[in-house]
Amino acid sequence: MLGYTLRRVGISVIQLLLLAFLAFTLIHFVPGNPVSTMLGPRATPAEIKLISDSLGLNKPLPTQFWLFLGHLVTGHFGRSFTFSQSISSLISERFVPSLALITYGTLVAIVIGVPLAIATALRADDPVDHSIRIFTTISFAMPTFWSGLVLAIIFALKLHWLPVSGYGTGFWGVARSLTLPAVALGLSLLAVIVRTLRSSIRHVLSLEYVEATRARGFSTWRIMTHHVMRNAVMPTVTVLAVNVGFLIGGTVVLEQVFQIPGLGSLLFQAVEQRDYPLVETIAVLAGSVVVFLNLATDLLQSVVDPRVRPGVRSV
Amino acid sequence: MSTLNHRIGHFRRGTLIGAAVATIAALGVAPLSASASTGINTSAACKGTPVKGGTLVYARQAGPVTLNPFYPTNGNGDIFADTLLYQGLVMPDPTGATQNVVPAVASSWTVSSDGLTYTFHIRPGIKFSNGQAVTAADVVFSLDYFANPKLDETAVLSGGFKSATAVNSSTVKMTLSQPTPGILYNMSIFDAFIVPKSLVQKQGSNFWTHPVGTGPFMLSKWVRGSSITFVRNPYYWQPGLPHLNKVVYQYALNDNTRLLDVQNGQAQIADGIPFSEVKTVQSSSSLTLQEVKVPYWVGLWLNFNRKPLANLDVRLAMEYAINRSQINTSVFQGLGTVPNSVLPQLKYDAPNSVVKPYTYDLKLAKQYMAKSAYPHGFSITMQYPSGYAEYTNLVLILQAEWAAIGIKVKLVSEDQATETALYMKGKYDLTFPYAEFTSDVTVPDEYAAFVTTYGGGGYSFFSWWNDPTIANMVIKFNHTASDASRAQQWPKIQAAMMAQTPFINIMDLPFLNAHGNNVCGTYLDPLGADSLQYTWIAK
Repeated sequence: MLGYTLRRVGISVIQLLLLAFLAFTLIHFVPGNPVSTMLGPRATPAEIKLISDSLGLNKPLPTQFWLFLGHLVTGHFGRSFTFSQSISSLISERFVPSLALITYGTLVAIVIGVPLAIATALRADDPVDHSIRIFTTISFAMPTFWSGLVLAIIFALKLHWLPVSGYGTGFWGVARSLTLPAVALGLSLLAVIVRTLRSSIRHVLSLEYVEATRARGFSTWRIMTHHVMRNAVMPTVTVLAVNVGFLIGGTVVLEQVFQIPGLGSLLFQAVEQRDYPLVETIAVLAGSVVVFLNLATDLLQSVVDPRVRPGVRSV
Repeated sequence: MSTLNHRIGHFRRGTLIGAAVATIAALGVAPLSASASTGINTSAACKGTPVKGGTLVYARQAGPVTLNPFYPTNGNGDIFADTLLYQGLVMPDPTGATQNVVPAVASSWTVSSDGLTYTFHIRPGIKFSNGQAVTAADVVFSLDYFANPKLDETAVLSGGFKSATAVNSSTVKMTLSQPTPGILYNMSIFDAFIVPKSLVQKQGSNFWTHPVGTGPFMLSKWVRGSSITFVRNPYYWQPGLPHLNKVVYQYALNDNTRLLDVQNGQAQIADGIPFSEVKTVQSSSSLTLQEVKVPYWVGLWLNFNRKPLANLDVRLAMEYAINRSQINTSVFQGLGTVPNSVLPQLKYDAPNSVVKPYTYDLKLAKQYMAKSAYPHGFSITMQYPSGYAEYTNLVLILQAEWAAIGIKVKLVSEDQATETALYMKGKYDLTFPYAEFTSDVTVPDEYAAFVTTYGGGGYSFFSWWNDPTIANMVIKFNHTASDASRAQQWPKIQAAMMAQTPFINIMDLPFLNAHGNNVCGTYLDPLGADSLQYTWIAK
């Protein structure tokens, strides 16, 4: 177990280094530079050189990469060109709204998705099953910015139940302002939850021990809650953990549409402005979340189910 | 609209030379019967005495990322916040009625007969928003900041500035190295705002997170990426202003969100209304569309390193092949103005009767192509900014119109930063270098210099057009002290540039705002900055 853990951690470190290298390299090779973007039509060659020198942009690329790695390791992250502010303070300001949105969106997906998955599993191949699967396919296919705007038109503009945009204050203010984007985000996740959980439940329902519980006269509710869901839910948890990485990317558009001051809208602005250190840092941090979540999932699974550990043979 | 009859302080035009004193009356409390924008509320709700108090929520397409006016990094997002907090010695006419500069921190100024010395008199009793008196030392400090390229990213606009000295505690003398009347306009905007010397020196970069200025409002709260809240400046120098207690800029980068905000009543004003949504606003019973006349144009750049584009007959053919009326109707909802200048609408421009705009004449266009060095046409690429529906529609029309004269245009969509980078390296044939191209000032000096200065690495604003005759005309214009002489020189330059058409001005455009029908006094200066000191919300 220790050996597996150390190997798995080592792989994660390599993944993080590769991630840092890719984040640094890719943004530097995208056309455009932060200084001429910042100065706009007033960019004279002399002014561009002066500002580029002050920002360290004229240093050799390997030197800039080494400085960037140093910032990552020490956690200081440097300063944003655009905001003239430390990146760590920028990220700490913007982190909570993104986390709140992703958490709320995931909860919405679970609250809607789990009952739908149970319904489709128990009523397999009947009209209820087909209707739910068609609905989740459509919700998966809808771009989140479009579904977000439709929700805003209905619930904000027409019904005045919720605000169109912005990020409220206090717990209820935040919850209210995040409801529409969270529903848009949750709808995009629904298909993932419903399909994986449906498949998993169907598999567990076919097992002999479940047959035995039916023979003992247990109610469907008791069978599902006490015997089936515990075994069926793990694959869905794994898939959800992987999808969090996509969610981080998915919030970029939603934060723009609903004007939520999160990391997604910050990243969007940083890319537009070619704010190299900010783009690189957010990309690495977002990727790190995915790497650590996958590491945690793998380690947790190896504890729960020894069969996944290398060297352990299945019976 | 307010019925108060006070008017903006007068100054005699054309008397900037000589020892004439430009005596300025104090700015009135409120105007204002004239404005260059349409859509200022003239409903019954806005007649009568302005209502004091209230909070205005403004859905803005760009928010500030810094409140350091000397170093904006997000264009108008920064600038339109800065204009609520700070002012310069002078300011653009806040009503937008004229393209002149009017007194602000300075109540008056004189200019020596040789145009080299400006003497500014600080407005008696003017204070910063923390109650601190504005002194000559603050003004000198701010002007030195303006001229320092290490501190001011737009120090290029201080060209001609030599020094600033305090004559006494309320008088500042500014000396130029050569007559540069445009500098007064450059000093009316963000790059020369007056800041308190002692606080900036003491607090350094922290000053810009809780700034102090002489503007009508002061910073209350800033949630970066979300909103910025301003409250009235209790020391603001215009008597009785501002009317509002609070202004909240709510950022809404997405066009649809911004419109929904103002339709929903979550905001009372929204800026940056896209042309595609004009009819939505016009058909709304609760909203008014405001067209703001500003120096904003759809400027298409031609790379003179590409031989066909360096040919005058080709350029003329391209001009005559453009059906601007059709473009105005189908892309800009009829709200554009067919231009008679290669630059945007600026002070001293001659009217259409003097400098004629290009009209659509396909037959003439074909004649010019036939007599050019490329009678059979040629292929070329046109870069345009992604994410703008107007540009997507516009370039398709241009592509079709130029195909009719044998010019095959390949369209390439790029994001703004990429487009700017390619343009500055000359890696383009035709390009729209800036999606929202506006002049910083109302006089032609800035852009005329940019587009005609070939040397120094500017390459005539990266067009590689080189016309020493016109360049010398611009140099002479920019350093002529007499306003009357400038007014005579500029139309000749305007006509000369139109004749050469080194850049194609597709259309002059207004800024478009939408506001609720109970929002009154929505004046903007001629550069599009909101003069929210005059704004109030009717009950």
